[in-house]
Amino acid sequence: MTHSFGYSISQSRETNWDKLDHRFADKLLDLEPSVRLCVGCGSCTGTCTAAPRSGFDIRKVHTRFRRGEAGAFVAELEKCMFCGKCSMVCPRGVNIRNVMDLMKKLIEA
Amino acid sequence: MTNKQTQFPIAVIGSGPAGLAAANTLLALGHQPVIFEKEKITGGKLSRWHQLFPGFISAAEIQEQLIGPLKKASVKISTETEVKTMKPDSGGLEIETASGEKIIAKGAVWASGYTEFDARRKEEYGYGLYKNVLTSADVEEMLAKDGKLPFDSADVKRIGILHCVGSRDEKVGNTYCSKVCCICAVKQAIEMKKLYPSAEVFNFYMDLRLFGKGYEELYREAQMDWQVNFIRGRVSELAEDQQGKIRMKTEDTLTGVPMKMTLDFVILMVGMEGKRFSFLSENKNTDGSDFISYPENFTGENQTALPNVMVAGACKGPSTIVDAMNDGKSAALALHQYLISQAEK
Ligand SMILES: Cc1cc2nc3c(=O)[nH]c(=O)nc-3n(C[C@H](O)[C@H](O)[C@H](O)COP(=O)(O)OP(=O)(O)OC[C@H]3O[C@@H](n4cnc5c(N)ncnc54)[C@H](O)[C@@H]3O)c2cc1C
Ligand code: SF4
Ligand code: SF4
Ligand code: SF4
Repeated sequence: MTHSFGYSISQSRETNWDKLDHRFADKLLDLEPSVRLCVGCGSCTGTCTAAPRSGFDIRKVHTRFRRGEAGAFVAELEKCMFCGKCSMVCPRGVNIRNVMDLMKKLIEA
Repeated sequence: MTNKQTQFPIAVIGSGPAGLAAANTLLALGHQPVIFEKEKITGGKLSRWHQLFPGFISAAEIQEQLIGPLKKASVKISTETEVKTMKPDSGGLEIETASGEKIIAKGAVWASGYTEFDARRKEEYGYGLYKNVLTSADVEEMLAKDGKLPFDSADVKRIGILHCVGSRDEKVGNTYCSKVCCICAVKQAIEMKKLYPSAEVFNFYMDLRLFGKGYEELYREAQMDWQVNFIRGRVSELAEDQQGKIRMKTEDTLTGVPMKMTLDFVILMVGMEGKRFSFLSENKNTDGSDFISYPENFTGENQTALPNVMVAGACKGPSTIVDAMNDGKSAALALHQYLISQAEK
């Protein structure tokens, strides 16, 4: 683990766009623009291998990451097994497995 | 046809897309229509809009296409002439205008359109009080007139677009969906990115209802090529700060967290409202709206209480311009068929 800040930040109870740091989100959107096409359908979470055992919600995690709450989900990101099922079901062709990978890399960098 | 019937014209009430399409069809069927328009200018909403969804075609161009053939055929358009009422007459139909003038026609197509929801009724959005809150109709008019909005690009960092203003809202008495505002919001979001490339644009919606051909594609284009952000949440309130910026509050329902944000200006996607005319229909709509009710039986959808009056366009309920035009054509044809059936008797 290269960074500790992610663990120390609890998931906030409010999204205050003015105050959040959007740099990680902007970077993610640059590197994997397909995530802009997400319609929030929940298919990725529905199929996710990790979801039933760990309560991991990939849709919510990547949505909140895009809102600028990158640091809050470091522990969550560990739950992904990179099986890629999420990418296979997405009706909008979002490469979510890569979104997962990038979120981890961006935070750990 | 009896001589009595042929000597009178067919009236078209309203010169919006529905009325103009009806007049063109009547002309093609060999009738000489006369058009009554209550405003000073013709075209209905076409005369006020800028570029139309989904293909960004200029509204003025479409209006010209509709009016050109009518001008050529010397179809009379009486502007500043509001039709008040109509009743059966031995010649067919007696039409009375607001100034008390009476005209006999053998039949009519009624295409009186809709009015925009008055956004001041949604007090929590501050329209009319906050100078940086506009309506979708304001934006169309400003763009059609000057090609720009009264905000300096250097000052605009965030733009908010609020869906469902005056629609799907029991609080204002309109429970129905206005149908075109979602796609109009997607179109205006793209126009905002074209005008303010460095600004972020946020659309706040309850559901995205993008039913028409090319609409879903325009939504994808807005997300992907124009980086428009779509946030699922109905905005609960707007407040103006000292600099005139707008503080927005909603819930980001896809993350399940309340959200707030400061916006430089806001566009309210106002819905459509109808008006009842008792001489056309006494029936109430099941959704409680004031649009003119018509037989929802697939085959008689242009009929009114008067057999020689057909109804068309957005006066029946929210519609796109193509819907309104097609309905105008259909009403013209239905009237033509009715007149022929009467003449054969
Ligand atoms: C902000 C906004 C943007 C839109 N943009 C688009 C778009 O890009 N593409 C699209 O397809 N649709 C668009 N629409 C929808 C479009 O405006 C309607 O589909 C269209 O105007 C309906 O045409 P109409 O002829 O039925 O009614 P209207 O355009 O409302 O015309 C009715 C006419 O009848 C006249 N009239 C009313 N009562 C009387 C009377 N008693 N006597 C005489 N005359 C009368 C009115 O003055 C008016 O001229 C938009 C709507 C809004 C609110
Ligand atoms: S790659 Fe990760 S997020 Fe996607 S389905 Fe597999 S475990 Fe879930
Ligand atoms: S499956 Fe695709 S569109 Fe649906 S929520 Fe997941 S990323 Fe978004
Ligand atoms: S079309 Fe969209 S914005 Fe308009 S009322 Fe329906 S859901 Fe709301």
